[in-house]
Amino acid sequence: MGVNGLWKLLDPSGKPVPLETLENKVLAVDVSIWLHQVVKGFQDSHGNPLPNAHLLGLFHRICKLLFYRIKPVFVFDGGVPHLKKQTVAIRNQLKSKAEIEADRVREQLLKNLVKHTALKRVLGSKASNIDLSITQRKENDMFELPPENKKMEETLSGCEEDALSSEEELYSHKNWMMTDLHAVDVYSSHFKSLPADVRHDILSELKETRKQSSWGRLHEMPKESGDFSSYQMTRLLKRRSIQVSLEDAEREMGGRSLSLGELEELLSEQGVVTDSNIGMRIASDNITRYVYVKEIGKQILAKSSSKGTNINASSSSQTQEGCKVNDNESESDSDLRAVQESILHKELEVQKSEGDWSSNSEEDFASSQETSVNSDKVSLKLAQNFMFENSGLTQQQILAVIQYQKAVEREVQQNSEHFLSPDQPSTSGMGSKAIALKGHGDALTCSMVQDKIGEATCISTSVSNIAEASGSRTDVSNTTEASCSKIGVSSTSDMNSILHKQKGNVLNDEIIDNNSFAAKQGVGLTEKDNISLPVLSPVANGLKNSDDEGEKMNSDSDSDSDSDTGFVEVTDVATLPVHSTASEKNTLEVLIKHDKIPEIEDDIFADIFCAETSERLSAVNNKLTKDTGISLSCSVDIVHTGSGGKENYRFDEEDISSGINGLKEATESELKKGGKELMGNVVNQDDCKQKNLEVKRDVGIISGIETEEQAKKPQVTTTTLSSEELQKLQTSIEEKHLDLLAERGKQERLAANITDQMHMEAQELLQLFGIPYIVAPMEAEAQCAFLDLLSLTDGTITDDSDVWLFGGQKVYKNFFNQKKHVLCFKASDIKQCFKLERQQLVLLALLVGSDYTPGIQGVGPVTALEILAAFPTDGRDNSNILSGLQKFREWWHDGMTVGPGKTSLKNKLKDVQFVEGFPSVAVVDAYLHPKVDESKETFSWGSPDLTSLRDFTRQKFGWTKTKTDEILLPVLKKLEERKSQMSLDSYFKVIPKLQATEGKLSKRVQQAVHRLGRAGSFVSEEPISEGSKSGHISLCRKKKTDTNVKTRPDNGKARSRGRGRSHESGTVHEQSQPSDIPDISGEFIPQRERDKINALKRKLKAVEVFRTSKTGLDRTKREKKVKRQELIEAELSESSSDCD
Amino acid sequence: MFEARLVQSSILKKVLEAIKDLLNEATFDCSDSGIQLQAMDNSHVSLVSMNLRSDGFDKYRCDRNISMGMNLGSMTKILKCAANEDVVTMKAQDNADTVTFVFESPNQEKVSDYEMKLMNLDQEHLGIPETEYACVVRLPAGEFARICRDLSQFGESVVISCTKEGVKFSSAGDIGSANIKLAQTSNVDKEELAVTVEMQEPVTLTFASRYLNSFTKATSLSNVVQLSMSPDVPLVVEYRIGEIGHIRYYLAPKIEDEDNN
Repeated sequence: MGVNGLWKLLDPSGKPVPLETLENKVLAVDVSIWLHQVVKGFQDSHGNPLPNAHLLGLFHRICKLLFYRIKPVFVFDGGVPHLKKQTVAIRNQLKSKAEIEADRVREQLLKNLVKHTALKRVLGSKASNIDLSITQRKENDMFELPPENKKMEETLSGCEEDALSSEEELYSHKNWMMTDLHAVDVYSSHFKSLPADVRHDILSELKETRKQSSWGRLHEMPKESGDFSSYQMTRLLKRRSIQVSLEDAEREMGGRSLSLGELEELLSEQGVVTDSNIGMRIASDNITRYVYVKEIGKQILAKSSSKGTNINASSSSQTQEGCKVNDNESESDSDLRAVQESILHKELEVQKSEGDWSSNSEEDFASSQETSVNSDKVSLKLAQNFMFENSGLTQQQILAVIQYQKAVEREVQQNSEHFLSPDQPSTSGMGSKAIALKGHGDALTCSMVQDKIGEATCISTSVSNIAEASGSRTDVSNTTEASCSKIGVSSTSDMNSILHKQKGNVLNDEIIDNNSFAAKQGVGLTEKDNISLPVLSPVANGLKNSDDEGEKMNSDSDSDSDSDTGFVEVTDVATLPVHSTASEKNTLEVLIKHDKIPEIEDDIFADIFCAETSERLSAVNNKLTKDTGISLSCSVDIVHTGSGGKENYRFDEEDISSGINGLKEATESELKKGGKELMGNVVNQDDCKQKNLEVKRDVGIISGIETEEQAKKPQVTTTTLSSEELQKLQTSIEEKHLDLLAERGKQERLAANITDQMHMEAQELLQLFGIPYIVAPMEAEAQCAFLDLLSLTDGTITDDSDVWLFGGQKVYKNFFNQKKHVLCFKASDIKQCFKLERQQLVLLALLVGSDYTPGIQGVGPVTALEILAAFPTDGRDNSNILSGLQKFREWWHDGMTVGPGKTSLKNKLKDVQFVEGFPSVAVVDAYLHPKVDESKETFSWGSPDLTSLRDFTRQKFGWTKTKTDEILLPVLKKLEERKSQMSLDSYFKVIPKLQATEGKLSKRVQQAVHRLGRAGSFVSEEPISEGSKSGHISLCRKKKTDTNVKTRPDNGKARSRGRGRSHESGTVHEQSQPSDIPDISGEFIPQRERDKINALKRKLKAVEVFRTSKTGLDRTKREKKVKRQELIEAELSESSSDCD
Repeated sequence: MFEARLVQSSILKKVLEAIKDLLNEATFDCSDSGIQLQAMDNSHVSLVSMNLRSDGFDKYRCDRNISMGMNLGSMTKILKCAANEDVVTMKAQDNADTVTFVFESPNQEKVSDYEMKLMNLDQEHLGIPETEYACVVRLPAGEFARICRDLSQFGESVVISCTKEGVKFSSAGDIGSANIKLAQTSNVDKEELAVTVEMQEPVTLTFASRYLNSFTKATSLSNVVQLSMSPDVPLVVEYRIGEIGHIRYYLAPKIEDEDNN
């Protein structure tokens, strides 16, 4: 804000002011800068941003002002001037760059961590300090991502880390977001997309279910009794994390909606707690952390297993991404038709579309993930094979599907049209997040499609709706969201009962309604997402299932669907095999959690859609029942292929892959059988479930195998690297990590904004306090300065140096900085000290950059001062205020000819770049003639409305009456005091003081100021003291010395000594002859004498140099030498007159 | 060359004691006529004006006027090194940026000198007009100190009202109110114990007790304190410094806000 570096320059002219002396002063307060400060600065004990921070900050500051009986006038920013917009746009660019940078850094962090963990595992005992570093990092970083998440990302980014071109990065980023959102950390990602109230519902529900269903988790018990405590610990921590997030959600509900950053924070808090082997924070204590260290073997196993699943996620998410890209590309209707045709032609077309799809996905992803391309292909091929095999089974269904397709077609097209509009902005505007969310939705839909017999249909709709809602949040009205959440509370129980009924009975009408409509909706939506893929065709199923695979946990989708059907037992059973095979507790728990959240959401949305009218119920319904069978079988297959592909991708070793293939084949056949069976018993849900279980078991086995493979993998790599190298690598990684962390924190803080609502609330608060405020037409600083000029106020409280350029007369800085004194700056002081008036300050701003102009890169305030001194403006007229800078520009363009006063400048300005249009008249005009409210009305103050203020604080900050009174009553008491302390200044005449500020200025600034001060009369002046080594200057010095010798022979020795030293310091001359200076004033102040001497000496030099270069700025050296003779005379005359 | 020799270093000590509450640093202006000091506290509510006449010194020499900016904290430290009965000499070269304090023990056996760096201070001289005050009250310095101390417990401000009968100090605050009336002493036996009021017109003024308390730090300099007041004019609290000078404190009154908040 303000003029770069101006405050630093002006600092010496500021005087500390006791706040007491400001009593009864009318001070304008520039609020805009406050709000920014407060919003970014205020945080609670956990470092989280406070809700209503802007009001809280304002409240305290108003109290402070009133306590000192200052009469404040608050000035808000109105519009933003065009010039500022431009500069702000540039700044915003930087900001978004910073955000991207933050993301990138985060990603890098994760990568780093992967490397780190890998190394840790390899190094084993050697790396004992790693744990420490991790925990330390935890302490440093509140924004830490949940470790669960991290592992996922690690693996993902680990896959990618080899190939990193810019394009690739883009993709990988997308990819990362996706896995992050749906597969990796469903728990948190949902929160991101949900408003606080929904989150609250979810969390409270979660809390409830945790309490109830503990019996259902018996199987989660560790087999070894030794692990029981750790098991308990994790559970406890989990519960705590839920509680914490619940509280957060509650808190959030009170205030505004969450920003992304806040959510992230919230989630990371949860994440911190979910992992048991990393330092944990206990809620009430933000200092202590608990580190729980599990057995290493277990850890590794767990990690590797989770990694295994993660890999599934990554590869599948790739495929998912692939199809999405495909969608985007083939969004046209013709494509849709083609796909429909393809359905009609069954296998052939299926193959074709598959081919299309795969090629597309390859195209898109080959670049980003070279390593995984092969595996992708493999998996795709496998998928195709299975499609073939399945096709036999699914023929009937496909026919049915086609029928359904027609029915749905219209709707789909409508929807797609409708959906495209939000879709496109979301892809472009909201970017990867929206996509990720959609992808997430897709994945969930797919998983749900599997058992449509159950409520999967509802779920799919709901999930896709979630995707829609979150993807295009702006489009979805708030009302629907609100209703969603409302319904959600009641709907869960409703749905459950419905589901139960359905299980027991065939289908009652209402359910049919729900299901069918939901199914329709879901189909429509999924189609929209995967436009080219008709949902119910095997192809689509395949794709979706692979997406589903992308959901990190194979069993996830299964258990999802199971839980959705309302059978708690089934969920448990479903998870059991996974548990036993993979033997990972953490993931299991996560699974359950993840399952529940989508479930709840699904229900919410499902209900909404129930409320809407549904048509074509029965026809769809029939199809649906059939479809489920297909989808189930397909899903099984795809799950298979997906995992197979992943394995391939992970391990290039042929033997391993072949082994896996063998195993795959075995399971495949089994699964196929299962699929067939399912086909037979489409209506029978119980059978389906059993199949599901089978499938799950298979999956479990596969994942178990994978786990083993994963465990092997690092060992393989180890052999290639020596442990020394690894250790080196490790340390470097750790260092890098710290760097990255620091960078990330910095970047993330740069994102946050002030809303209009904040302004409104702030103004409300001011009204309650009875404080007048103005909303400036444009810049608040300009308005403040204007009020100051009109003497409507006695000064301005701001930290924005712009106010000087707008003509501020008196500025109080650091008013709310407890660490610093309040400094009072006066325009007159600045003029006296720096010879800078408003016009010069504007010129300075043009050079160094400000809100209105980027300035010249590489020019700081002191250099700018020197430039201003060297290129003075002609006359005082505003019209040619820029003449000096124009001269400067010309001089620069002419190759910076060495002229008097410019030697040092030439060196400094070697690399500067002039911006287009420098010096800008518009900027000058904007500063000198800002748009302000010209009303000269005086202000009046009311007394604070205590009751309303109490209400306000209770409402906004949750304060009790006592707390409010504690703060307000002393203020009110102060205000009620009728007497005010007078100042002696109003009784006694102040005799103008001598200026002592000069001593605080740096030498360079002093010189520049001196030159500035004389700029009018002495156009140019050679700073001999600049230490330049050019020949003529030393010559000049010598001559001067000679003249001195002539005039004062007695001083000769001292002088020549002085000359000897003068190469080091230019001021030696002056010091050597203080006694020569006559006593000008009656009073002798030793400290000042030297300054006077200096001034005199400089003046002499100035005269001398001026004479040598009378003709102007662009004199060459040669010409100067010619003039040498005159110099001597000049010096002589000056000196002699001086010494009389 | 500036040189001033004072037989009683205790006077210098007391002077310093009397001003260092209000001021952190001050400029001692030395001229032929003596040493003057004038400075406002940083909130510009009170002003200290001290004058030590040259004839009060044992030996005084000032070739040209010099202003010595001194950090009073540092000066206090140096003066603490002097015993009460020591003879103190202040010395400064004309253009030096240090001042030297020389302490000699009465029997000349011990001589210590301390050099202190001078400061370049802002000078804010106030032109104080010679005023005829409506009321001039003389009372024992100790009594005044006591009153100020007592009343400051009640409130931040002290109201001083002066009538023909005497002078009344009052204060009010959260815990209640306090009034102290001093009647004019009828028969003046000992001048330093007497309360005298010279009054043209009655005056009532309000002052911040915080500053009054700071002023009473000069109590040790003199037995008698003189309060001079006129309506809506700063209060003058004057203490004599032995035979060599005086120290005056000016305090801006508190006045009623005419506009209502």
